[in-house]
Amino acid sequence: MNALELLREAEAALWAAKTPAEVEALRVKYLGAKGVLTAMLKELGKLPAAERPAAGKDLNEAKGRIAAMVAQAGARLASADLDRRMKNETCDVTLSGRAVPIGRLHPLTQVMREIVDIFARMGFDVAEGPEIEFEDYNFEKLNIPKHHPARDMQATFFINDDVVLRTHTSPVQIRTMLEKKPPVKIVAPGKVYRCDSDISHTPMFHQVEGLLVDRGVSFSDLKGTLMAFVHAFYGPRTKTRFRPSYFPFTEPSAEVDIECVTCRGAGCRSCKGSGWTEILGSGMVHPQVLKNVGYDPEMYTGFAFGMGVERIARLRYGIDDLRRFFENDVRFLRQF
Amino acid sequence: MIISYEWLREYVEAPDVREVADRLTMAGFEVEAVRNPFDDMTGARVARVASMSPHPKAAGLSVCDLDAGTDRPVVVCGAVNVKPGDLVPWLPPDAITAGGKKVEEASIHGVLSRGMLASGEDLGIEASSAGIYVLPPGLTPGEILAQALGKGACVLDVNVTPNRGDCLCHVGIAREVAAIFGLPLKTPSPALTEAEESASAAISVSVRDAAGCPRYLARVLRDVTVGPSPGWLVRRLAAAGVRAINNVVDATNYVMLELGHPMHAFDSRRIRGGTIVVRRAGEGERIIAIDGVERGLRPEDLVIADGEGPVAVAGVMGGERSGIGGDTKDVVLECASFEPRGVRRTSSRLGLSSESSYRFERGVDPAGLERAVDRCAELIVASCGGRVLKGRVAGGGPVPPRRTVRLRPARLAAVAGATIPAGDALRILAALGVEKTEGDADSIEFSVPTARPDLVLEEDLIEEVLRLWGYDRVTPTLPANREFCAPERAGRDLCAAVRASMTAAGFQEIISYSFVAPGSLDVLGIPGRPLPIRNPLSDEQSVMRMSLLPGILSAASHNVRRRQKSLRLFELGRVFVPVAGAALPDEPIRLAGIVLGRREERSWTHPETDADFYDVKGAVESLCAALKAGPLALGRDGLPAHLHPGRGATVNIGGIPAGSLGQLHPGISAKHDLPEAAFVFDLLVDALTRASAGAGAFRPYADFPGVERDMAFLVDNSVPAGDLTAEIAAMRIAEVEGARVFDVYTGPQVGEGRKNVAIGICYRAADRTLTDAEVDAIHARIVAELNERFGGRLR
Repeated sequence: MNALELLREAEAALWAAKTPAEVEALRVKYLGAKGVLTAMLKELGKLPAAERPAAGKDLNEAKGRIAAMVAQAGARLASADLDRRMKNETCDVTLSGRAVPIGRLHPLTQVMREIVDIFARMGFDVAEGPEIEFEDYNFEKLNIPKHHPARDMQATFFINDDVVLRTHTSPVQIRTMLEKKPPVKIVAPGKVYRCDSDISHTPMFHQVEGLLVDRGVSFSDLKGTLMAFVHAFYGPRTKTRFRPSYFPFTEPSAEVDIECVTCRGAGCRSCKGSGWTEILGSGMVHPQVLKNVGYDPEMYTGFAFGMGVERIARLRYGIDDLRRFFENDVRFLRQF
Repeated sequence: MIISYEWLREYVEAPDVREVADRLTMAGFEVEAVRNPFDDMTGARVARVASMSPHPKAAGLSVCDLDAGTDRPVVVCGAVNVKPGDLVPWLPPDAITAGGKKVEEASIHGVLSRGMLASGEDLGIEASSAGIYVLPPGLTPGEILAQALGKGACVLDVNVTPNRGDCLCHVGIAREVAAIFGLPLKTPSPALTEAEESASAAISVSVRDAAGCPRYLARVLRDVTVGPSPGWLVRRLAAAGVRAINNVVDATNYVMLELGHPMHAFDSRRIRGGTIVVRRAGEGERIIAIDGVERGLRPEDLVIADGEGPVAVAGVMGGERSGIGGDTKDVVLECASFEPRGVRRTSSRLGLSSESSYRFERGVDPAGLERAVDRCAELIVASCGGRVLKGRVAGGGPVPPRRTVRLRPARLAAVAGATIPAGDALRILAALGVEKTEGDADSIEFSVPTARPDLVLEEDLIEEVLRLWGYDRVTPTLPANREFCAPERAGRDLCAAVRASMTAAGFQEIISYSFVAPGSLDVLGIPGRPLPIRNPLSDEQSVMRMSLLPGILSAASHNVRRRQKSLRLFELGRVFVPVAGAALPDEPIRLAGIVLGRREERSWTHPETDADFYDVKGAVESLCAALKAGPLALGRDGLPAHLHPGRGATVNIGGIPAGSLGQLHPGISAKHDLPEAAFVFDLLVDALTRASAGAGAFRPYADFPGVERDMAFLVDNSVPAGDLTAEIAAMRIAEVEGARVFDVYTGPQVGEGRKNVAIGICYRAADRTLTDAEVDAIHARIVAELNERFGGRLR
């Protein structure tokens, strides 16, 4: 038998092997110390000297190839063996997993954060202030004198004559301007309080207000900034309109409507047929407010805006009754 | 403010009602609805009374033959204000009245009546009616009534902002419409024929408080006949939502709705002494207003008085004693200008808000009194007969001068961020009655009408120009960023990190009201007195919370009662702590939470276990780990009263007292209908902020293998397990990487009063692989130390 014949025989035998033991037996048979190859190598000396090198080379090559075939056969059988074993190893994938329980943020926290982040990306700083506030900061400094009908717009909780639960986050604007010279570019999120309670009013709610005061700030900047917000929050194609309105602390004032999120402007019950939904109030900071904090209105102008977080969350999620936000029923809270 | 479209068109040729509504909205007068006040008259049709005859069997009833277009119904009717030829609303069988009654065909004393004739009440346009609602001529019989009254009957619900008292009337809105559309405005100019007799002989007017009442005018009418107003006037009032009363009172209301001047009519004979005095109320004076309620007055209230006492609360409401009655012959008409804040003070103190006070609070044109009082007299004479005495009796001062306001076109452009041609600006202002008096291209001086107290500053004129020129014509721009502002945000970011950590630990965020019931804090034994609200909505929300726990517990109760029994809730928010001597309370931000019920959702993967102390402790540990705040240490001294005395702890983070955690006191859980195994934590966020170190510089770690060895100690039950690991740490052995209790066993095998504590220790050296001999030596040292310290016994 020459090397080639040996190789063919070994290959056929290894392919036919069905168990690792058979493979091992073949390994011993061909490659073992008393194996066929060892015997054939010993026989080499009997060959004529001229044939020896070639025959030796063939045998050594055959040895290497048989070793590789043995390894291959072993791997093949191991893999088949694993496949066979895994066929019996199953689990019921329909059973629930070992879940890590997660909690969620309150929907108002989520919406407020989203609003604040949009303005933060436009370079507005976040400012906060106390919820129990001087009447002076909440009203007088914002150009809302006592016994003014504008106070009807904000039914107020009083601690005493001089201290109130803030009715808007605007006193944060006053505090910031009293502390710092322009430019002022802040957004003020937080809780506010008004004595009203029904399905569309809760005595506590959340606002996000913003203020930008600098040289040369104009109404067109107000429009651009708020449109950028609307497009970021409601989508880039959302139609927006700026409607003249009245706030004692801004002049000119504007309310911002977006096309109704329910009917997309066609007119429905939720927008009372108008096709528009009011989302925020805004305006150029009233010169008197600037004077009240020691800014020169000839040098600086600015704009301010404010929005109710509950209202925006309510529109986004179609919530029927605002009081749900503070009932803290987990069946409600887990939905957001 | 309800504006009748038909009425509006008397002053301005307004285009289509929809367009008027849209443009008013975009000019600052939000039109909340355009509706037909007659829409509710479902099924009503126009019919002409063809003939009438008395009912053959029933006195007081008539049988009317109607012409209703193709139909010729016969109805029985009891009203006396209908005559042949009148157009009337006919409700056929199956129609529904405004009161919700279904109309049916009925035999009335033997005469078959096909439906009925309707009153204003039946149609829902009058609160109560005396007769049939006779329709204006010109309608076609057979038409559906709502359609017949058609567009002309449309009304606009206009939201007039508090700065625009001048627009609480039809002429005011008409002026805006004229300015918006560039149309001419026609306003009423009353023409009176006066009698010889002088009004000042009949009545005297004396204003003793010129600040409260800058101007007062009275006119006197004699020999009027009080009765119903003409149909057109009633219809206009009805459209504007005002009920008709009698022709004198209706005329005053009409003038108020037309020109914006609240008017009052007195019965002249009931003005004692023929004198009208405008003065502050005397101490203890009282008045019965026309609503029949008697009210006490105070010296700061302005009243209209006669020789006997108050006959009206100035600008708020008339008195019952001097009002117009069916027998009134002589009338004194009042048209005055009252100071807004005084009216507001009195009206809010008396809880008496009226159409009149609403307008005075917002400002009434002091220069418009003459026209208004004349217009009212004109209307009364037209509908009640009688004579107008000569002259107006005046009190108070003269008409105040018009204010002057400057506008610089450059400032207009700068504030608007748009170029508005000067011609446009002048045209807009002129249409509003704001007249240019002098000026050049840089600065123009304007004279502002007395009806516009809101126009004081240059910005006020800028707003007028901009809103009528059109906000939508301003091109949006983005402001320049002149400064990168990044101030102290650590607190806010930390709050975000706290929230993230809590939700990751399975806690649901809640938000509770900041005001609570005083009892809810008392129950928890929270020391100190909370800040009370002077005007709370209810006792349940009458003090400012000093702790988040009442909100947490009430949310937990709410959910447990609704069968949501396994809860993990947290809240992050401000509490309010009064500070002696300070005007404002301290408002620390706190974090509180609760764990109750099953630890995890019931599942095949694990046996059901209930939450315990170590769940809240674990939550706080995870939080500290997330914030890199520490070390966390729990103490047993000074426990707050809301905790179980044996299963509570104070929390100290990084050496800063930070709050508490533990099992809720069983007495408190019972009061809140919570299971006894309820666990809470309550932390001061500022303590977390201060203890939070953030990630420091990178520290290299050893790559050599560590060795784990366990030991178990039998110690007295009273020995805290943490003392064992603390002792190991205190030995400060460099090769000890960490020690952790992994099992605690109590039970028969270890005997009464003792426990077995199993501790796993990891040994590792930074510079080499430890040999078994080295580890054995260190381990033995530790065992010896613990034996000595705690009298324990190695098992």
